[in-house]
Order: sequence, then C-alpha cells, then structure tokens
Amino acid sequence: MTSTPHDEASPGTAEAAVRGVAPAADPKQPVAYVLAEYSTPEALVKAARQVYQQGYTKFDAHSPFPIHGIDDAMGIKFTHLPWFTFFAGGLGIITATLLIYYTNKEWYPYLISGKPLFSIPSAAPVMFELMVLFAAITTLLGMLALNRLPLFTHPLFQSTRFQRVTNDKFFLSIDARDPKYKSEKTIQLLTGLGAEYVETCHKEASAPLPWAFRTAVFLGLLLAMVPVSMVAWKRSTYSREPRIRVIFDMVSQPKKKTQTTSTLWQDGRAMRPWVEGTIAKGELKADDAFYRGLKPGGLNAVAATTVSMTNLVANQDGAAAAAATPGAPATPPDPLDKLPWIEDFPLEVTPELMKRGQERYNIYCATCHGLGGVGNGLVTIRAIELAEGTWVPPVTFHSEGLRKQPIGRMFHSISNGVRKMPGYGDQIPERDRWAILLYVRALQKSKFAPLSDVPPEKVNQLTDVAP
Amino acid sequence: MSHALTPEHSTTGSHAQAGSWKEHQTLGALAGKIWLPALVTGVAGLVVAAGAAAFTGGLRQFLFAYLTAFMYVLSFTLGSMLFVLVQHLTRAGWGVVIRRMQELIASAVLPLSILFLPILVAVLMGNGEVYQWNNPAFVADHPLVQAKASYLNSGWFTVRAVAYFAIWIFITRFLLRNSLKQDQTPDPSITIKLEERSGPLIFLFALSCTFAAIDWMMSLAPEWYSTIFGVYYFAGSMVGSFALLNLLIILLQKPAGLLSPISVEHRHDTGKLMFGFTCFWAYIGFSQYMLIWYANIPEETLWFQARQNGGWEYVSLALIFGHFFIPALLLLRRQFKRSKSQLAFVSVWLLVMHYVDLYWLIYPQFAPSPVFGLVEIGALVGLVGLFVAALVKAAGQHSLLPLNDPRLDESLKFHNI
Repeated sequence: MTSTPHDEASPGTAEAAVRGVAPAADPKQPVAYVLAEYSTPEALVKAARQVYQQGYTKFDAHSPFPIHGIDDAMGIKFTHLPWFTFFAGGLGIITATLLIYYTNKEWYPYLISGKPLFSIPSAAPVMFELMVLFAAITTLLGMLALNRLPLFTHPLFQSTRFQRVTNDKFFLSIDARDPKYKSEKTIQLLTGLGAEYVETCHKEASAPLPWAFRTAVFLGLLLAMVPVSMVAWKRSTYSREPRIRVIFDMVSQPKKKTQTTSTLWQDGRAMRPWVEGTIAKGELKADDAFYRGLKPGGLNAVAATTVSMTNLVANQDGAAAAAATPGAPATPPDPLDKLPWIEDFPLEVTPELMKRGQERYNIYCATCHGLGGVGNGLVTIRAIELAEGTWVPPVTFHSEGLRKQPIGRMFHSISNGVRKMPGYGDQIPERDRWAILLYVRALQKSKFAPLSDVPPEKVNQLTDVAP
Repeated sequence: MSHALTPEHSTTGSHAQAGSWKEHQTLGALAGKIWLPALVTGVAGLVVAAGAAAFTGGLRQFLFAYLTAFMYVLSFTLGSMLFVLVQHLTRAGWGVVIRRMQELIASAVLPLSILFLPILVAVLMGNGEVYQWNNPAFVADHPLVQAKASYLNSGWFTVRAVAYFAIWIFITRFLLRNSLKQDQTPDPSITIKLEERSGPLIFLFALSCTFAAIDWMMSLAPEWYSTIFGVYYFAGSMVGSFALLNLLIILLQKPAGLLSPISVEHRHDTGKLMFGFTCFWAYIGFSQYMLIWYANIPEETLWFQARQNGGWEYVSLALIFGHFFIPALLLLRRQFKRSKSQLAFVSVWLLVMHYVDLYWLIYPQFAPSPVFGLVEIGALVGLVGLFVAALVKAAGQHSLLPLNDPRLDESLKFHNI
C-alpha cells in the first residue's frame, strides 16, 4: 500500500481541508469513493435526502448509532431478507417431514409402544426445530450475502478522519461507480450540502504478499501433512509393538471383557462357566419349601421325572383338564401332578405380606390376569380386540381346580411359567412370589366367602348383586 | 437514541410539540353514550339466556354458558394486567402510549368480580351440576375425586376465588393509581416504584392466574389434570387481550378521533405481540396435547377423547386452523400488521376464535356434542355488554394516554426499522 492518507497534522493542508476538498492522496490510483463528513445526524439526513433526490443510487451513510428516518431519506427499499427466512423455514419443515418419514417409516421401521410409524404429533417438534434452525441460519447468511460481507478491507478505511465514525462524526460516501458520478460535480454537491470536510478515497493497489508470510504458509501446510501421512502409514502397515497411548484411561485395562476370546483357556472363552459341584455365595437355597414349594425331600421326586425342575412347565392346567369333555382324547398325565407340593405357606403370614402381595400383584400380574383375577387384564382385552391368533387368554383364578391346587404348585407356576406365561422367577424374589400367592388366595376366597367371614359391623353394608 | 430518566427531559420538548393532543384524550361525552346501552344490552342478554335456558338445559346450561362467557371477558383483563407488569419490568419505552389503555382494561376486573357471584353462589348452595366434585353422589363413585376432596370443596374454592380477585384488584388499582399520579407530576420516582413492585406482583399474578384456570375450568373434569393448563388459559388470554387492544385503538382513533399519538409503529408492535402470542398459544396447546398423546394413559386421554368425538373434533380442527394457522400466516406479513383495516380484521377474527377456544375448553364437559344456541349467545352478549359497561366505568374521565411518563418522549418517537 503506497498511498499516504491525508494527515490532519501535515502543514499547509490542515486549514485548507476544513472546508473544501482534500488533495488526492494517491493520484496514480483512480478514485473509489468521495467521503463527506458531517457533525450532526440532522445534517447527514438532509445531505442524504439531497443526494438521493439528485438521482444517486450507489451511496451510503455512516453513523455511530442508528438514525430514525435515514432509510426514507436515502430511498432504501425494505429488505427482501424476510422472504429468505420464510422459504428457508418452509424448507426446514419439509426436510424434517421427509427425514422422519423415510428413516422411521420406510428405511428402518421400528415400532415403539404401538405408536404409528409416522404421525404429525410426534414429528411436530422436529419440524418446528428444523424450521427454526433453517430460518435462523439462512437469515444470518442471507444478511451477510445481501450486505456483500465479509469484506476484508474497504477504501474508506484509508481516511483517518473516517475513524471517528464510531465515535462522534457522521459521514456520507458516494461510490465512484455510480452512474451519476462526475468527479468535480459530485464533490461540489457534497460541499454544497454543508459538509465539514470532503475527501476522496482511492482504490488500493494490491501488493504481493511478503516473502516471509508466503514461506510461513508453505511450511505450515507442509507440517500439516505430517500427522495425516503418519496415520495413513500406520494404518496400512502391521506392527508387533503395543498401541501408542497418550493417556492411559479406564477403557484400556488388563482384563477380559464379556463375550471376548482368550488364549488362556482351552475352550478359548474369556467368560468362565460355573465350576461343577460348587455353589456361589447366597445361592444355596436348601429350603425346598421356601424356594421350590416342595415338601422336604421333594427334589428326589423331581429327579425321578428325569426333567430338570425349571423345565417342568405344565402344558395343560389341572383344572382345565378336569373340565375337559369326557369324550375328548385323554391327555397324557402331567408329571407335575405327582410331585409332593406343600399345602401351607412356608413363611409367616402377616397383614404386611398381604399388602405387599397386593401391590406386587397389581404391578406384575394384573395387566393380564386382571385386578380381580378373572383373566380380564388390559393386555388380554387388547389382544382380544386385535384378534391376536397366538394369544392364549389367562384362566380365571376362581375355578374349582385352581382354588384346590396346592400352594406349592402355584408357586412353581409363578417361578417357571405355565403354558404361554413365562416364568417370573428371575424378576420377582421368592418372598414377593409368596406374597403374591397370599393375595391370590385372598382373591379366590373373596368370591366364595361365607357370610360368617364378614366382620359383623360390615354385614349391613352388603348389597345383593347376585343375579 | 437513549432517553435518560430525568424529569427535565419530559417537561421540555415534548410539552411544546405535544401539548395539543394532551388536552382531549378522555372518553368525554362518548362514555355516557356507550355506558347505558352497553349495560342494557348486557342485562337483556343475560335475561334472554336465562329465559332460553329455562326451556332447554335449565340452570346447568345457563351456568355453563355463563362460565364460558365470564372466562372470556375475564381473560382480557388478565392479559392486559400481565402486559402492563411486563412493560414495567422490562422498562419498556416504546409502549408507554398504549400502557394506559391496558391499565384501564385491566381495571375492569373490579366490576367483573361481582359478576363471578352467580357461579360462587351456585357452588356454595351445593350445586353439583357444573362442578361435579361438589356433587356427593358423584364423589362417592370416584375415588380419584375423593383423593382431591381436601382441595376441591366449596369452602376452600370460595376462599381461593376471593383471594384471586383480591390479588387482581390490588394489582390493577396499584398500577392505575400510580400511573394516574404520574399524569400530574413528571417525577420519575413513581415510575421507579412501579418498576420495583412489578417483580413481586408478577409472581402473585402468575400463581393466581394459573390456579384460577385450574379451579374454574380444569376442575370441571375433576378426575383429569394437566400441569400446563393454567399457561394455556394465560396464552389464550394474551391473544384475546391484544386483539381487543388493537380493535379498541383502531375504533377510538377513526370515528372518535382519540389516541392520535398512537401511530402505525405502535400498532405494528401490538400486532407483532398478537402474532407472537398466537404462536405461543399453539405451542402450549400442542405441548399439552403431545405429552398426553404420547403417554397414552387413559386417565389423561379421556379429556381429549371427549374433544375428538361427537362433533367436537370439528371444533378442535377449527381451533388448529382458525386460532393458529390462518391468523399466524396472515400476521406473518409486515403489511398486515401496519394496515388498520387488515389488523382490525385479524383482531376480530381472533376475538371470535378466543371465544371458540374457551367454548372448547369448557363445553365438552356439558354435553358430548356441541350445543350452541340462544343460551350461549345470550350469555356471551350479556357478559360482553356488561364488560364494555365496566370498561367505560373504569376508564371514566381519565386520560386514555399517560401524560407525563418519563419515557413518553421515547415512546412518541418510536420507530420500527
């Protein structure tokens, strides 16, 4: 940059510049802008209106703060930016809709809680967010584009007086590319409009970049290649060295993770099965009555059936078999019928246990069996509504067979399942299973209770609901 | 240009140029011309509604129609009250010229409190047809309502209702009294006091508005609950109060020649706020719907179930499009907010939709299919008439614009980009 901006302090020019035209700073370069300085916003607005009325189109006003009415004075039309925002917002909504439709419904359909694969309510938040995102980003980029930003430098910055535009002075600049621009006439116009000072700013000659800068950029690019090429080299060759770790973190520990291989054992598994003949701590479970619902020594009878305890699942409920029509083909005898089930609860029966049982029953059982145990839970009702072919409806607890069934056998059903019902042994601890059974017994009793079981003070509250 | 909060500032300059409009900014003779016809219309409307109800749905229908219309007119005062508080809290300069209008609309809550008596008396007399939690036979069959009995009972309901009106009357009187005092003196200490007190008052307002909506409308379905319900009513109230404000400004400007300092720039901003709260209403309404839709729990969905069947689904759709999509797309355009006739059109449109919104909130508890006839129209006309009379009474011979606010100058010069 060879131009020397006008310097207020240089002798001889300071007085001449107060009112009038500053000497051209660099006559070799053509004029880019004519800059006029004003000391009040009112003067700037007045000058801008005049310049606009003279037919100039490429000119701008500069002020330390926004001035109301300057847009009208300069003849600035309302911006088109809102249209950018509007269409970008619409595009965001369309993008979100297509994104959700194709990912959730077409390419990777995954049913969650029976919700539709595509629906407006669940898509609306994403549509809203993408609308805002697209609109906001487009507004920012559109504003920059309409203002032709970013700009690294501008001819007006040559003027030292122009620096006060961020402080207390007001400026009007006319672009030399304006069709109305005529060097002398334009300067005269601005001077005549009460400018404190008028000067010309010239195009900037672009000098080549300094050699040091070029060398630094070249070296920088060269150095930037080093990590990339090292990564590429390491990835395409083999090495017996351990991995380079800058920080040893918890991810890399000298241990084996689940489902991985190991050379330490003959079978190649890192996970070890239980050693035969051993029992882990707390897993003894010697009390047959409490843990299995069997009388003492009952496990010997199980051993006689040649099937392990957990695989002994009834295919046919005892009650249902008894109720089968006499003409039907006889079902094979159920091995479970022969086992020595206990008839009484193997733990102390308390009101607390009953309360616990009711709570657990309502959580685990009622969804299928219904709150009253007649087999009308919400899942059952829905399965019947949807006509699910594979659904086996649960039986009622109030049948003759189930009311008479030994409590140990029912415990077995909860623990290991019955027909289509899976075993709940892994989810419900033994004590809670017994609590549930206590509550089921209470439910069973409720339907067949004699009047003598009702507390005397409640008898007169009874209403006859029987048909 | 920032305006310092000094008394000298507002006494100089603005007085010289604006002295002309300050002389005649009261309703003047207009008040007498409006007050009596409005009062007569209001009473006549209620008489018609009561007479029609005697032949159709009886007291139950009359109370439902009355409650809907009451919540409708009450919402204008609540929306205006909140916005005056917000203006003080944010030290807003632009809106000083519209603030008095909102203070006056909010002040109508004092006469409105008397109009709540029919509902309160019905509850205290043990009427359980509107609020089922007040019906012992209903409560006996519904364990969920029994569990809420310590909150939903006629005595505690009355105490709360009195408390809400006490809070609102206190807030509006405080705001208006000090604002009127400021008309006499340009002392900025009054403005500073209003700004300081608005913080605590807005907490009181938020709690009372939420609980009032829960008590008076949500408890119509005593088993159902939604924590966002109060905000939903508040959002609709803001839309309604800005629609009313826009309409009043335009009406008072054109035929009456009042409010000349309120320019297109101020109307543009109240239009923007109406647009913003229309979107906010939709946002809140959707938030409430989506959580319930997604969770799909019977005790929550039953409320929307009632509004998606038996003809109510058309009212729901009318709200989605009429209360959100159509007005929002119209108001999105700058020109729509700046044109008097277009802004008035959307304001009237939204005032109608705001009533439909409250009708949709309340009436499905009355009947499984939409019912709209002489009872509803009579109650609406009646309460709107009485509200207009109350508004004129509240405005009295006060200036409709603040005269000496320290930020008045800034507001007069307010200019959108």
